[in-house]
Formats: sequence, C-alpha cells, structure tokens
Amino acid sequence: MKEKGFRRDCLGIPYALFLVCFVAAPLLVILYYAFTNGQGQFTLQNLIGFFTSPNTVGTLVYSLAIAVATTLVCLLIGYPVAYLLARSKMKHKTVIVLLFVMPMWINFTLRITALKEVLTLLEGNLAFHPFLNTIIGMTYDFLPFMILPMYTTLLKLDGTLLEAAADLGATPFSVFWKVTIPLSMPGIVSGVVMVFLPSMTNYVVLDMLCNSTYIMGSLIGSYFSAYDWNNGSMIALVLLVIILVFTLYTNRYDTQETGRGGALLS
Amino acid sequence: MKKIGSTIYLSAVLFLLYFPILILAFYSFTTSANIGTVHGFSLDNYWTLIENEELRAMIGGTLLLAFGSAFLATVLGSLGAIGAFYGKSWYKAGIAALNEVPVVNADVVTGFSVCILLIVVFGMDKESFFPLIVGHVILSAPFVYLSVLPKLKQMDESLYEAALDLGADAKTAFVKVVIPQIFPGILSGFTLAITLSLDDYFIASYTKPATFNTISTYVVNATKGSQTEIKTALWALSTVIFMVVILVVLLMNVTSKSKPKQTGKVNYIIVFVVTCTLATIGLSAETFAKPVTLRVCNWEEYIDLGDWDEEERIELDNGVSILGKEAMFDDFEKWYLDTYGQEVHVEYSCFGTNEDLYNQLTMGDTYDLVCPSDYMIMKLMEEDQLTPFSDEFYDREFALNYYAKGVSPYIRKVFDDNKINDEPWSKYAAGYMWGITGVLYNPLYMTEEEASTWTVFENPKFRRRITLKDNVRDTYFAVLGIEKKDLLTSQEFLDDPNYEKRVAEEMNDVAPDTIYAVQERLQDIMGNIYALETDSGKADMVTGKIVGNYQWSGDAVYAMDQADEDGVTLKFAVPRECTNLWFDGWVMLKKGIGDDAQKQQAAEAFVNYVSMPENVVRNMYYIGYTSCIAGEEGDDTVFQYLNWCYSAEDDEETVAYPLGYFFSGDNTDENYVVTASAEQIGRQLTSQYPSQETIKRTAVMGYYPDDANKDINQMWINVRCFDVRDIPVWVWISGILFVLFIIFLQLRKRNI
Repeated sequence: MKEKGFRRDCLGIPYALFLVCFVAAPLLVILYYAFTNGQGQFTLQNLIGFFTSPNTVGTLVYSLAIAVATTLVCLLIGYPVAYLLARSKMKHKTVIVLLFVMPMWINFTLRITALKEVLTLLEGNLAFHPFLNTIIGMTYDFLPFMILPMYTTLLKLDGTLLEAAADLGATPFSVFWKVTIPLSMPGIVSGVVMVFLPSMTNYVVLDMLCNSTYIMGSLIGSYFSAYDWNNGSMIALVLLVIILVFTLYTNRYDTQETGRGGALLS
Repeated sequence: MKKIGSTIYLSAVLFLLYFPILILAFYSFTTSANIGTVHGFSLDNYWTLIENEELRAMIGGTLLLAFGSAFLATVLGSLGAIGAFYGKSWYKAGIAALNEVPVVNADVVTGFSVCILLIVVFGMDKESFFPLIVGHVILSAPFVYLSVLPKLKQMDESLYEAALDLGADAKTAFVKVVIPQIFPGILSGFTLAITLSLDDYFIASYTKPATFNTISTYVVNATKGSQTEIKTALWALSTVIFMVVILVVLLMNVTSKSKPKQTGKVNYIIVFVVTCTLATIGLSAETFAKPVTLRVCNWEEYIDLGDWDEEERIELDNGVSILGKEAMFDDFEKWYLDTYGQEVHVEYSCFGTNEDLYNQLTMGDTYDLVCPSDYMIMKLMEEDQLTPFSDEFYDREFALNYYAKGVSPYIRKVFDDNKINDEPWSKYAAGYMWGITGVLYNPLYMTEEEASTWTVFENPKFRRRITLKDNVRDTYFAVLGIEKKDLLTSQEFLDDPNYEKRVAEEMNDVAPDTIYAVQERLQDIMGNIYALETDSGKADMVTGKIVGNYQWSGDAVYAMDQADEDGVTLKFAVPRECTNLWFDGWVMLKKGIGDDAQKQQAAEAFVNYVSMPENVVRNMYYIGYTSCIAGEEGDDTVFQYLNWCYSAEDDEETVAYPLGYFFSGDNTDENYVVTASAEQIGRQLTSQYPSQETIKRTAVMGYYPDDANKDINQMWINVRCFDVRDIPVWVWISGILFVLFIIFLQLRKRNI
C-alpha cells in the first residue's frame, strides 16, 4: 500500500460495529431473558415450561403444520412455474418474470385484504375453514418468494447435461428426477427457507383471515404485551434454534443467492 | 402443444396472483363498500386518499422511512461488503456470520429482540424514531451486503493495481475503479432495501412510535376498524401502488428493447427518477406535522372528526343548531385562542385497547391527556402516574367549567364513590363516555329471548355466526356470566338486600378455580363463534356475515344507525344475568404535564371543551356513545338531542321512558321523560341510555391484582393456543411415518 491513511478493510468497521450492536447484542439480551426469571435469577423454568405446556407445544405443532403445508403448496405450484419460465424462449420473458415478482412490492397486508374479500365472496363464512384459509393466505403471500430463487437456479442450469442424460438413454422423467431436480436443489432450498420460517410466524395473515388460533409469532406478541419478556424471549430463542438447525442443515447446498435477497434483482 | 400447456399453466398462476388485486381495483372505482354489489361508478375513494391528512401522512411516512432506511442500509452494507472482502479471514467470517442472522431470522424475532434491547433495556423513546430506523436498517443492510459481495468477487483486481501503477493514490483508485465496477450491486441492493422496508409489518409494529403509521400497520388497524370510507380508500391505495409497479415494469421493458449497452444507464435513470419522485412525495407529505403542545391520546373513532353534510345539521327544539365542520380538536385550538388568548396545538392520536395505551405509556410514549377505561384509570392511579385535576376545574361558579357544571349526577356519584387508596376517581378522572355491554343481534335470525343471555355464545343454533371480543377482560366477563348464570338469576340472589354489591363481587371473581372454569368453557365456546373481533363486528352485522355480536352499547348504537341506512334492522339486548357497566374518562399524565401550569390549563380546558353541551351532542351523534354529561341546570341541549333522536311521530305507538336518574338524579322527575316510539325499546334509545332497571344489574369490573391478572392473561393464551392433545392419532402416525421415510431416504443416499 502506498498510502497508510486509506485501507479498504477499514471501510467495513461501521457495518461491523452496527452488526455487533444491533444484531449480536439483541441476541445476547434474548438469551439472558430466556434463562432468567422476573427477578433476574438464572432459571431453566422457561425452557421446561415451554416443552411441558400442551399449549406452547401445541402452538409449535400448529405453526409447523401451517409452515409445512404452505411450503409444500408453494413448491408444488411454484416449481413448475420456475421451470417453465426458465426453459421457455418467450419474447417478453423478463416482463413475465417481473409479473411474478411484482406482488412483493405491494405490502402483504393490502394483498391479504384483497384476498379476504375474494375468499368471503367464495366461501360466504370464513370461520368454517380457518386452517384452509390460512394456507391459502400464506401461499398467496409467499409464492413469489418461492418462485424467484428456483427460477434463478434453473436459469443457470446447463442444458447440455440434460441432453447428455437423454443421449445416454434416460427417460424424460428420470432426466427430470435425477438431473434437473438435484441441480436445482440450491434454488429449492432457498425458496423453502424463504417460505417456511415466515409462515411459522406471520400471524397477521391469520388475524386478517379470522383465524383466532395463535401461532409462534402471535405467542411472542402476547407475552410481550403481558410484560413477560422472559417467556417471550424463550419462544424467540426456540424459533432461533429451529432456524439455526434449518440453516445448518441446508448450508450444504451452496445457496449463492440467499433467499429473498440475491435472487430478487439479479 | 407443450407450449400451449405451459402458457395455460403460467397464465393460471398469474391469474390467481392478480385476481384479488384486480377485483379490489375494480371495486375501488365504485361507490360500494362491500365486494359483490355495485351501486355506481365513482372516484370518491381516490379523492379520500388525496384529501385525508392521516392517509397522506401515513403514505408519506412509509415512503420516507423506506428511502431513508434504504439509503443508510446501502451505505453501511456496501462499505461492510468492501471491508469484509479485503479484510482478514476472521473479520470476513465474523461479518458474514452476523450478516446471516437477520437474513434467516423471522422478522417477528428480529423486531422483538431490537425492541427488547433498545426500549426495555436501554429505555429508549420510540418517538425518537431511532428504534424504527435501526430496525429497518437491520432488515435490509444484510441484503445490500449480499448483493454487493458477488460483484466484488467478479471484479478484476488487476484494474485496481493498474490504476495504482499509473500513479493514482489508493483512494482515487478505489473511488474511480472499484466503486464503478460494483455499482450495479449497490444499486440492486438499494432497490432491494426499499422493497423490504415497504413489505415490512413486524419490525415496525414493535418499534414504531405510537403516532406514526406505515402502510402495513395502518392497514392492520383499519381492517380491525369499521370505517368503510377508510377501508375503501385502502382499495384505492393498493390500486395506485399496483399501477405504479406496472408502470415501472413497462418502462423497464421498453428500455430493454433499446440498444443493450444503453439499457443499464437508462434503467439507472428510471430508478433514480422514481426514487426522487417518491421521496419528494414522502417529504412533502411529512411536512404537515405541527409543533406540539398538548398531546391527546383517545380511543379510535371516539371524537367528532367533522366534515358533516349540511343536511346532517341538528336543529333542536330549544333553538340550538349543531353542525360539525372540522375535527373537534381543531375547533378546540381556535376556541382556546379566542377564549384564553393563547395558542395551543393539539397532537391527537389514537389507541386500540387499554392495554395498548398502557404499553405505549410504559414503552416510552409521552402524552398529556388520555382517555382510558375505568379499571385502567384505577391502575394508573394506583401506580401514581396521574396528575390530579385542579380545584378550579371543579369550581361550578366559573362559566367555562362545563364539565363540573354539566356532569350527570349519576356519573358524579359513581366517580366520587369509587375509590382507590381512599382517593375518589373524580380527583384524577373526568368522565367522557359510559355504557354497558350486551348482545347486538339481528332479529330476523335471533329472538330477543335468545339474545338476552350470555349463553347465546354457546348456542349451537348460531354456530360460527356470532362473535366475542378480542379482549381478555370483556370476554372473561361474558363467560363468567355464563358460568354463574344460575346463581345470578336465582330468586334468593335477586332478593338479597345487598344485591348490587353482590353482583359486583361475583363478577369480579378471579379465584384460580373460577379462572380455570372459565378457561374450560371458553375453549368450548371458541368452536362455536365466528371470530374474536374488536371493531369489525359492526360491519359484519350489517353485511349479514354474523347475526350476533358481543358489543359495547355505544358501538351498538353506531351499528344500528349504519344498518338502518342500509335497510337492515338490528337490536341490542342486555343479558338478563347481569352486565358490565363501564366508563371512559380523561386523565392527565404526570410524565407529560409535569409542573407545566399552562399545559394543565390547556388539558383541563380540553376536557371542558368536549363537555360543552353542543360538543357533547356532536360527539354523541358522530360516535354513537353516551356522554357522561347531562348539561347544567337550565341548559337542556343534551336532553333535547334525545328528543330529537327518539321522540315518536304522531301516528306511532309511544312509550314513556324516564331518564331522570341520569339527568337530575331523580328518576321520577317528569322533566326528563322521553316519549319515544315503541320501536325504540331494545334499539338505540335503550342502548344509549339504559333504563334504571338495567343499571341495577350492572357491575363495574375492577382491576385485578397482579397474580390474578397473570392467571387471566395465561388463561387467554391457553385458550388461543392449539392444544397438542387435540391432535388426532392418525396425524401422529402419519407424521412419524413421514419422518421415518425421510430418515430412510437419507440412509439410502449415504449407502449409495
């Protein structure tokens, strides 16, 4: 370096400090609250309480059920869309792709308001199918987040590999199952990450669609408004651990374009 | 053939994505308030969007927040990426790991943890906007980082070296060579940051100041509410956003057809122009904020907001003529200037529930004058958070003391008799509105007999067509009423000389066993109701979605009025077991008023202003609730308003309805008997002013001791949570099979 005064790695210091103050520190605070009681003494009661209460475990199961169902539906609808878009040689492909992304720019609360009106029109009374409506709402909300990462991955897919497989005698189905799917795994994984976790916590969708059962997100909120930071933090911590396990498990797929990010505008 | 198939599939998915938005767009151009019926074409919704200051401020604020936080996030994130890229490996890994946390974390957890750190631990004020901005930067900066990093990796480092060799210093080389190469990454990071901020709800809900709303928090509040004008204006808003987005997409498409080399530049120009325009809109909408003096926080839709049509003018028999032109707090500013010769600015904001208000107070929001309900007043008194009203305020000789002179003898007695630590409510609180709770019902589907009991919520006949309140106290009261129905209606209990006291005792029963019994019962009831609601029930009654609705008397009046306009008749029944008597009152907060005598004078003047008989009528007409004000002696404006509302036409059957207990303290007082149309019994009149018999079986809900409060909150959580024991066996079995299947697949893979 010619000049000592300017070092490029120093440019990162503000961001590093910011991350330490507002990402690392809150996590430590959560950790502290989760393992103390109202008087600030160490306790495991919150943890034990979480896993022994039929309600919190029930909420976890209910949230997981919503998340799994939403993810599956999004995958089933979204994968063909991403595949067809990536493979097609349409003239206005960019526009069509943008059309699938565009709903993200309209705040989800407005979209769910719209959906609620339509569902009410179709079903008459939303209260009879709370779970179904929730899945529909979540799918409607998160579908674009599922399609995009898969689309970007499929776009980069090397067509010659598919031809090679076909030349070597594979049926179209096994080409798809043994070549396309494994190669598009990074996209699928980031799509799943994008959909699975938010659908465990997005309680506004439930509220707006008349489902009064709590999910993980609403449970945190309810402890928060009852000034019970300790139990609230424990639930946040449980969610964090689930997320951690999830990311560790999925990290083996090299997800270059992480989730809702990278893919969006690449 | 294949191509057609794929086109059909893609179009079908697109159709599903856009159908709801398009439906809303269509209805936003009509006068109808509900999807399904079309009355006529109109641009009213768009007009409201432009005209309504609240909406404008909300849109401006959202845009400003999005661009401001995106800018910060872009600077931080880009610099972070550059630093990490050139830094040592531990530094790189550290940033990368921390950067990943907000990306994968659920927004609820991010918002919650930031809120806990900044507000609970550091006691920061939400009003400073610092937590909100930090929250949004945390949300978006990691994505900027992620979109800049790949560009750095792709960059040709030898160019930088070449620049240095050619004599540029490190800084110049960096600015002129590195930055241009990674610029596309920075730009897409910026756009991404804006997208994320615009789509956020959860972080804002934990960190935003109470007086500020983003589009999402506003929509969530509005959907709980019942103001159809706002509801349909939001349809217009989503249509406008939809059109802006479509326009951007089309522009990008047009430019992508021009020469490929120029595309990039033109796209930057488009992004730049759109950014500038939207940021300007944001800034100009925000500048409407006024300097603050008196910060008033009231319930939503709980004061006259003016804007009445000329034909709504109320002409009373005593010659008083009333018309609400402006919002009452704006009128107050003028009145105060005229009367006291001082300028005052009222910053008016709203809360949704007593608990929200209390949260705001403990979470660092400061107000001067707020309007909580009875038990919250008691709690605030107990916690010594209130400033007492001055002695002058209760001086009935002074002409401007409309409250002291006008308050109903009945209400005055309640406020003087109820005490906390030997201090009467009236020392700290001035009554605003009062009422009871009951069941609003549609007589076409439900008889009065069926509606006049708390057990209506259990009645299978109305399965999924009846609602309870999304509020633990009100719902607890109703279910307690069911739990104790036999006792409350037994002859022995009714004949008890201490009947009124005993009702209050029974209905404030928070023994652990009782709470448990309520929980069990409520769990069953949850399967019978349509939903828990706060405000949307009124509209749902009119549209017929539901036929019964647990309701506060004032909202019931409002709903009946609305329904009458739509040709639907609704009625209000008070359960025969007992009912909840409640009050909302103005209290001054120590934290806000402090020792500021001028502020206290303005606050007390505000209470007096809303207690002026004309203003009482304006509020009652506008919101449907019943004022605590009866009017001073010799001024019968409020009573005349009752006559104006309810007195019978000549050919109608009439009933004499005595209300002396409220107006003069003597129910046999012949001056205060409304000769009402017989139809009014069980409708607006009896909801607005319950008869003395009804008042007899009412109980005020006190505030519960801390441990009971905790139990009741836990009961509420238990009821709302899905019980793991409710999962049927087949689900367990299939779940286990599924997990086994996954493990089996993994094992097989490894063996290959």
